[in-house]
Amino acid sequence: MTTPPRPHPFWTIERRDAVAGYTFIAPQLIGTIVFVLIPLGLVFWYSLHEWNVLANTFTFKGAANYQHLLNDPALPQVLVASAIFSACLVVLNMTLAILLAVLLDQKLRGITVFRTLFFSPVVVSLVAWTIVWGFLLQNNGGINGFLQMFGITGPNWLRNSTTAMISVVVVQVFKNVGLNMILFLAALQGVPKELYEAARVDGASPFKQFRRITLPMISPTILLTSIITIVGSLQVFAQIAVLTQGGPGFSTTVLVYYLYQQAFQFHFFGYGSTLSILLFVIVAILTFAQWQLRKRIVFYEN
Amino acid sequence: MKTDLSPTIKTALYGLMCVLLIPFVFPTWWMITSSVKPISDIFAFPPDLWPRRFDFTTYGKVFELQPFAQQYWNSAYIAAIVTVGTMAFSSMAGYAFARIKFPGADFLFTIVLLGLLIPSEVTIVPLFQIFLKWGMINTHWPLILVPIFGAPSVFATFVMRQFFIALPGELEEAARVDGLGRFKIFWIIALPLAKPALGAVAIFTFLHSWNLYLEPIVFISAKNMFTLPQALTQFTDAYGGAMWNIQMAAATMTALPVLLVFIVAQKQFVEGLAHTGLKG
Repeated sequence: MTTPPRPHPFWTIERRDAVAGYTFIAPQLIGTIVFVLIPLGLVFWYSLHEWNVLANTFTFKGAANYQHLLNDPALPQVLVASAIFSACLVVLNMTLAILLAVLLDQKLRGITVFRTLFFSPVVVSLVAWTIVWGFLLQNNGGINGFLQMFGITGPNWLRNSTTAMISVVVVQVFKNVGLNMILFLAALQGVPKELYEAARVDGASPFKQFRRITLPMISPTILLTSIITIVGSLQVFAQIAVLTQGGPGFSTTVLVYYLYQQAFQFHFFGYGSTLSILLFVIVAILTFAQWQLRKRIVFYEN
Repeated sequence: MKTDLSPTIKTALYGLMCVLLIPFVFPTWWMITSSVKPISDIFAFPPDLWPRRFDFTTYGKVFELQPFAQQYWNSAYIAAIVTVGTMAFSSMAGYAFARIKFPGADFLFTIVLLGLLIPSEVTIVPLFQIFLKWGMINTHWPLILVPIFGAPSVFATFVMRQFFIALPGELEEAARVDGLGRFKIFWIIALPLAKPALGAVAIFTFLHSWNLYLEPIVFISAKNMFTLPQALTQFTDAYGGAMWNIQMAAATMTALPVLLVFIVAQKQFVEGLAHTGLKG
């Protein structure tokens, strides 16, 4: 301290800190309010209205859109498609991510090359990746061509409801499993090696070591990544729009795609907003449920 | 589970990994090789792993059919602005929430965190109305503003906050005693230490912007304003049939540069992401 402290300065450390704090958070806070929270309020407000774009009318209808939601014959199919998509995606993604992480955790020459290659789809442009898969999955495309070489006649992948769903799930899994794989790899490398040595001395098989040591130790990562993966799966749009346009029928019409169709293809902005609220509620419930679970099943925290 | 493995097990592991690699690597290979096949060979049987004839005119046609250079520039500059903007705002907010004591900080942090629960898919209808009112439809503003302040930037703020919380406080205290202001402490001391977290934020944000698809098709309808993901789906002939080889050429040009940057810098990439994942 070179300057002697003045008596009762106005700009105390606390006041200066407060000004700095508010200034630092201002852009993010204001931006989040304007572009996220106010729109969320608006989406709820719109959901109570009927909005005719052509006639330019905006009339209050109370719960009419919600009533329509319950009676919408397409909605059960949309929710089933969303549930199947998310469930298959998260199970496949987690299983494959853990398997790959365990493989990449082995002491093998050239393992970084494999890591790079498994991760590479993450950095390939999403729509480019999807278009290539769409090309491969054509009836006369690459996949069926290779199957034909072994005498197998493949299905018309994107034109059959079951294989269309399998296709969109698989395309998404291979695109993004690398991210989860890296998170699991980091988690595996954080498991203390002494635990395995002790288990080996006790004669535990590699499978038992995996079940009794590895899985519990990486459970926080499993939970964290499953939250991210499920919430991410609810937002899937480009893959559906490019590969199947929700078809055949409603078999791959997930909630976001249905919302997009209702709002921006049929211009039912009111009902589209109601579907947005439904999506929001699902995302919020899942996130809260996962955080509650986190307290119970996670083996350890930090 | 690091043990020295027997040669048999090693061979088995290599074999398993090579098989598993096919769906990860083959699509990219197929994209590149198909981009230089003449259209008559595109569905040839048996499928050609290596083109039997080459047709490089596909690349020129990409630029004839669409203002592809303009679209490329659109995607690139939007992603650059979004990335830099997110890095700036999220590191400032993350730093303040982690290191500065000010009234209402916890409450305001909760407000910002709410953004994580609200992906832009939920708010796309009102966002469309807002940007319509502001005269920003068919401009790039929505593609810049929504990601810079929406869920991805909230995630970035969270990541930065977690990073700054873990930072030891002694350096800052020393700087404060020396009379440095908050901004200087942030800029000179905290930010340089946050490079790993910032790197991860940059990668996430860039990829998010680069891949954005719903927002462009909702907000933009003029071809010269398109971003790459939008443009890629538009290579169809007069009957709506896909011009596969030209589309693959456009896809290759979209995917390859980012892929090459990744391969060069893959260590930083992967470590940065692993780091964020653990902290986040």
